[in-house]
Amino acid sequence: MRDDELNEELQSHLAFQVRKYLAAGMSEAEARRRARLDFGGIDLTKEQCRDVDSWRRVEAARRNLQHAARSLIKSPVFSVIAILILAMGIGITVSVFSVVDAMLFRPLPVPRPHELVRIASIDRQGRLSQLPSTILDPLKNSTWLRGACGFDTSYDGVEANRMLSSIGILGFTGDCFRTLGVAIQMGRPIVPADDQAGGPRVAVITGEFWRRAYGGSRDVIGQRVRMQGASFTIVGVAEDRFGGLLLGFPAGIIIPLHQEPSQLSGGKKQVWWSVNVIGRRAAGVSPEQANAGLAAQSRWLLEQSVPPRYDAERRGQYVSRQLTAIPAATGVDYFVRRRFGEPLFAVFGICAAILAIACVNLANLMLARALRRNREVAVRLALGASRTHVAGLLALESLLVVAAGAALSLAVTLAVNRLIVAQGSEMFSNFAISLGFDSRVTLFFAAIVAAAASALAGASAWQARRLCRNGDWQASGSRVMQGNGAAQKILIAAQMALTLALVGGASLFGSSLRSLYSLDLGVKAQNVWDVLLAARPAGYQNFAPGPYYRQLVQQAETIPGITSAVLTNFVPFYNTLYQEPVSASENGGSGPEVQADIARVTDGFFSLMGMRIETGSDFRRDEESGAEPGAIVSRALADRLGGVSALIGRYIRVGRSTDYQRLKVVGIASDAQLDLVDPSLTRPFTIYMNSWQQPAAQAGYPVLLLKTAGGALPLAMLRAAVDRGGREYLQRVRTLDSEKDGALVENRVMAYLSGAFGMLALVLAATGLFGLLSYQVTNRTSEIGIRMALGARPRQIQWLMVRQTAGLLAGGIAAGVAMALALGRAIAGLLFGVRAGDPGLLAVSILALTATALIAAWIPARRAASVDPLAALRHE
Amino acid sequence: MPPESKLDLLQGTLDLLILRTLQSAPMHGWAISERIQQISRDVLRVNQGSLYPALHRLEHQGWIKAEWGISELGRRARFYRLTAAGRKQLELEADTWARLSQAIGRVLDMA
Repeated sequence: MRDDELNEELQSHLAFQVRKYLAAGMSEAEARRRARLDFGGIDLTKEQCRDVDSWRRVEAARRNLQHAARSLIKSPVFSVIAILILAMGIGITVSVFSVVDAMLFRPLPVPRPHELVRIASIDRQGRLSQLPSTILDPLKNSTWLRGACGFDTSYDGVEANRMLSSIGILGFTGDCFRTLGVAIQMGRPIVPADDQAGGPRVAVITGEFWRRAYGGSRDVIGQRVRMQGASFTIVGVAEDRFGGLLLGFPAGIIIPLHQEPSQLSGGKKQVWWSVNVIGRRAAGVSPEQANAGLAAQSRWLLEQSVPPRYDAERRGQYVSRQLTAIPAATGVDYFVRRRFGEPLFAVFGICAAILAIACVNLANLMLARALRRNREVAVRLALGASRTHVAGLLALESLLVVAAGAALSLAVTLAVNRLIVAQGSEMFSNFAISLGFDSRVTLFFAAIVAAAASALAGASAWQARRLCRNGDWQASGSRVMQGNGAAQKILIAAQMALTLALVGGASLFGSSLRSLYSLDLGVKAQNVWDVLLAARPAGYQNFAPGPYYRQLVQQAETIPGITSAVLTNFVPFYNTLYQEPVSASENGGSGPEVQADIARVTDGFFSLMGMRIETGSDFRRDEESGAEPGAIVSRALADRLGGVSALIGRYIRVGRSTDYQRLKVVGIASDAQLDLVDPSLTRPFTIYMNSWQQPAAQAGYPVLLLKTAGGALPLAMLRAAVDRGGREYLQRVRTLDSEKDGALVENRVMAYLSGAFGMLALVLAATGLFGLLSYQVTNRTSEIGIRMALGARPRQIQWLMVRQTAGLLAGGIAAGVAMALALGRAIAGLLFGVRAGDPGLLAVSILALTATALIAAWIPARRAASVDPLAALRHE
Repeated sequence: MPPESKLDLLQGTLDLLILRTLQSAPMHGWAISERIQQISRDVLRVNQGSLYPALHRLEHQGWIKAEWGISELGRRARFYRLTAAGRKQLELEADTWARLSQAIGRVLDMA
């Protein structure tokens, strides 16, 4: 029944009663008065009738909701702050979780992904490496495996639908589709018959590439794509979610391994490939059983699979390898998890802490708000509202805030996700990560919204009930309730402790970043640009790299604004240099081996990078491949190999390849850190080799380092020069400074994020304290009035408020220092050049917290001191 | 209401009285309370605060049905009438009541 109908019914009852009294001879006014008296509380009756009608409860809920919304709108500052805090807190936390999910938890989109294992050889440092594809046949006979296949990923320029782009190319052995169970949405998969010498050049494209290059057109089957001069016929489109098997590095096109582009340009017929081996465990075989099975078969497997043309030494090394099977349900990871796993969990922890602080704070604000509204609540109770009803109303308001915050947080999550995806692809080329609401993220979102809702609604309801129990509700703001605010004080102190821990963590990350940037790397990266060159399709066919690159470097150097140009096989700070064992040749024999980074450069590299040739000379451009091969050795390596004088003009051996067993040391270069994998390694061992002497070894995909006089890179002229060559195109252009930023990205992200979160925590702590004290001033106005009337001076009143803050602060700092120290220990592995328990930084953090707390306390304290005793007492 | 003339209704008896009152004819709320008071010779007075919630409860249970009609005052009033289910419920409750009052009477007589 609607409200007005109920009203009409009760009014008609009154009318009858009035008529009865009138008939009994009463006056009109008297009759009305008596009728009303008889009836009792008309609102109470209405309320009881409403409770009876079950479907009226829906109406009541709507009215309550309306009321809650109205009361939130009445205090817009509180509502907006509360909703924004929640939206930011939930949004960022969910976003970070979706990154954690994408990197650590999201399984490959294949049936029973948990059955997949990666089989790899493991070295003494625990690094995993690929295996020759020859191991697949013996592996397939293993009883603990249902199937095994190999894949390799490369990146190359691919021309599809007249569009040239650099995409990931996945080389599959013939039975990969069957073993993995990758579904096809159109056409057919790659089958074993495709993967053999002379097999058809066919390709399956991923759903993502299908839409990007072909706009999702149905007649894509039979179209041709070109890479490195070969054209492939598209025979199928993989299902939408499948984007390759490498974590973070999606592929766009899948081809049979036997048709790989590198194979096509080489000319030499390849019979085996180095591949990532993926196996599917047989039904009922546990991961431990799989590993035991692999261990038992290891030697036999390796002996059966020694690649052809291995000499006795390599054969011996090969068969003594260790094999391991690791879970591959989420795909194969090269470095993403190792590099970002730990920082990611740290960020996630910080986010969760911030969200906890935000909730504590909001709960606190709600408590204070509920207390402030005691007059309103008293009126409601007097009018006959039940305590449950009042508590429900207050809880409903919190739920509304949470609902609004959660809705807004979706927008925050989407924005932050977009930022992360964009930053991710900026950071590493070919890197892409897709974030979104899959089932785990959705569940996580629901869980934290539910947690926030129950925390806040619970806090308000608890406070309301406590106030209701306080017995007679005086509609007075002056009453000081016994024991009130104890819970709030504990919450405030806890929040200060968490804030101190966060600010302490932020100061550690900030200081760590500062030490990283002030590190002397031994190079001057200003005005240096790096340009990645990639092959056009067929660009490397009939290719004479020596003359081509000499001409390219000369042309680049004649472009106005460019002072020098150098070719390398790596981008400083971006690529990790590969290592080889190096030893000094002594009278035909060789000295002890040292692992050293190998860098291929051309003449002018050292002056371009601001390094020095300490002894000897730089490489020369006119040295041909026939001349005696030379090398330049870093100072640290020279010292290690017996000293500068013992080395210069002598010979060294590098690695196992026959080409590098006798390299003449022509110079000693100053020490420089060219990658930042381990920033504490200030004097790395490095060997520089002359690219001009080994053009074949660096043919294809070189890096052009360019130094400008100070201005921007004349990009158009550079592009024109490269295009004139007709073989390559500019894939990416960046400055070395930005490469350095990229290398330090985890540190930067941690420093900025923790700094931002630290500030946010300080602001939240200040708001919480401000709210509590303001409330107390309001609540104790009459007490303060009496004190002042009795002669207390404003200073003393201020002290009264500040003393409280000091007490809360002391408690918060005591707990916070312990938490900050624990946090410091937890993140010690992510820090550089700063000690986790640094007392100076801790002192600064405590100072920041204290200053914030005092500022937050100052305004309410001043308000307390300016209380007019007369007005306050009149209030009573 | 003079307290000495008021008898508090036992829990549940109000429902029985309302159902019995409505057995003869449909009535609106005020008439129901007047009729109970009249027949009980002023011994039983129905507090309006419990009458209307009770009416709504009975209506919700499907024992009575309400519709708007024009009262003798010429204004709209809600008239309640017994439903078939209500009739059954009345028999059941009347029977229970009879047995209960007999039992109580016997206990009192014996003492």
